[in-house]
Amino acid sequence: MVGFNSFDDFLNEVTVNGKTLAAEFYKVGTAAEAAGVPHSLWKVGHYPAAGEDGASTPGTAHTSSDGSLIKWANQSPDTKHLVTFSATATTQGMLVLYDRLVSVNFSFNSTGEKTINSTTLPRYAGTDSVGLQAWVEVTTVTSSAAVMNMSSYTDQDGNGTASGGNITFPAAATNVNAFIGPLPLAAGDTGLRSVETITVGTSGGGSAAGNLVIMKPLAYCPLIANRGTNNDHMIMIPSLPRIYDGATLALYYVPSTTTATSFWGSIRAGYG
Amino acid sequence: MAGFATYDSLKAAHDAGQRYYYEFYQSTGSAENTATLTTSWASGTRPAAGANPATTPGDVYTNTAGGIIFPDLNGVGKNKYLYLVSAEIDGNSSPGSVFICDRLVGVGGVSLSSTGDKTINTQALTRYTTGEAVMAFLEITTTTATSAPVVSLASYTNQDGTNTRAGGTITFPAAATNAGSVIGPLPLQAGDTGIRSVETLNVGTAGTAGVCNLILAYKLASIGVNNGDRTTQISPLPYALMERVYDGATLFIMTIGYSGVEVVAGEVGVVFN
Repeated sequence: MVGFNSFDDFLNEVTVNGKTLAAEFYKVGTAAEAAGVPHSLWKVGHYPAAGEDGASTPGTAHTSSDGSLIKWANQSPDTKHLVTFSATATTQGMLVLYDRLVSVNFSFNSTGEKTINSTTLPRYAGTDSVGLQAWVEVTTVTSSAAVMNMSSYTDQDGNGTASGGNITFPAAATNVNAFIGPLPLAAGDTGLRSVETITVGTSGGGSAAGNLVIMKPLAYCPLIANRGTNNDHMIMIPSLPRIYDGATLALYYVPSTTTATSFWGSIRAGYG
Repeated sequence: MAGFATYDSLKAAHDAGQRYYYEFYQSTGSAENTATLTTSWASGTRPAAGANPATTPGDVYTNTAGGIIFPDLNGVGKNKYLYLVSAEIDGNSSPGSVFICDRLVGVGGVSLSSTGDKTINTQALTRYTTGEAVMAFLEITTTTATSAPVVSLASYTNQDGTNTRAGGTITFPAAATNAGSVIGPLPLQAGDTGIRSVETLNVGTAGTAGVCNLILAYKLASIGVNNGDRTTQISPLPYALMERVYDGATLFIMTIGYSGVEVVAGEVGVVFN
């Protein structure tokens, strides 16, 4: 039986058998759009180095992609689980750890329906797609406050042609790395398997472009400026989020200021 | 069988007194600003100040004076695990963070006052030998001047043993970056998640002064501290994952959140079985 069937089993695996995995990160963010507007750390370094934009439709399926905080070897049949997520930031905010599944680069500098046809999920397939979210990661600054919606997506149950509500960008000139989302779902939906089209009701203007990112949030770390937070996901927040083989772990944060923020942090996992 | 097969065996180890406990009390370095790391390695008093590493190929840290060290136990079939970390910053007026790191190897006397590739050639790691999650830092030992240096790992060996890797640049926080400041972790090449060794450091922009140590380290713990308050973290309850403290570990302290010199005090405890 994979996983941990008791606390004793966990202790045995991580101490006697040494089944622990470690990762560190140091990210120097860019200026955030505004307090309360999520901001991506995917495209910034330093440790590890920045990730890249997704390909255009059907995009990139992320499996241990460069930019991931981890490149841990597969441990099957054992399963890996997040035990500790800790961070220190130079400004107050909330840091979010997520598994980046698929990204599709698209332009939204004109109105109309944009073909996304996101590629097959590499993890959380089928009904495991409950809880997946779609975001837009700005890669080229906008000149108008865009309005868009997922006009056709496949929900967690595999129903195609679902359509969600509109989301409005926070500003005419929405900064690069602003992370807009999660994109609204249709009533009753709790996840998504793919995105087929995005309709841009109000253009982002200029050369506005971004990555449509399908992701699974894993852990949240609230931060006071310079005061580290150390979250345990076994005892303090009993959850032990699973980290799948091939996971591409990334970060975004919800800022309290537009000041560019630096983050130092650690991830520790156990497997059994 | 080293380690703890059950919680009861961990409790029994504690009951039998199978633990070591170290109280530290040191000055931090004089950080350039609140967003720059600093190190207590070169400060006393407990432990006493550590020495700068030798020039290339530098030093390997094995129970080295200046560090928080514990007896080696592998020879009697036992492993040590971190169970207690506590820290406070005395007299400070703002929150901050304390990092407890294992100092692995270092090369001293790296000049920041001229451009070009600096030969580092760190020695082989004796702990965390894959290099996974091992980070490179620059400890400033002579204040820089005139221009904020811009540096990069021009050649290093990554966590997979692939050499000739090259990381991105990092810019010092000020033209006159204080001695005692720590720069890093230094940027990696895309796809890398650790370092086994550093062969060369490139100084792309140099000042008219400045010397540093290049250190490879592994972080064991981080702890946030409020102003004038001690924070304690206990493992495994509620911090479940017990970090192993390897024989030879030379623990040292870095802090963030303060400018100037502060006093950092606390405790590190290990339990063994």
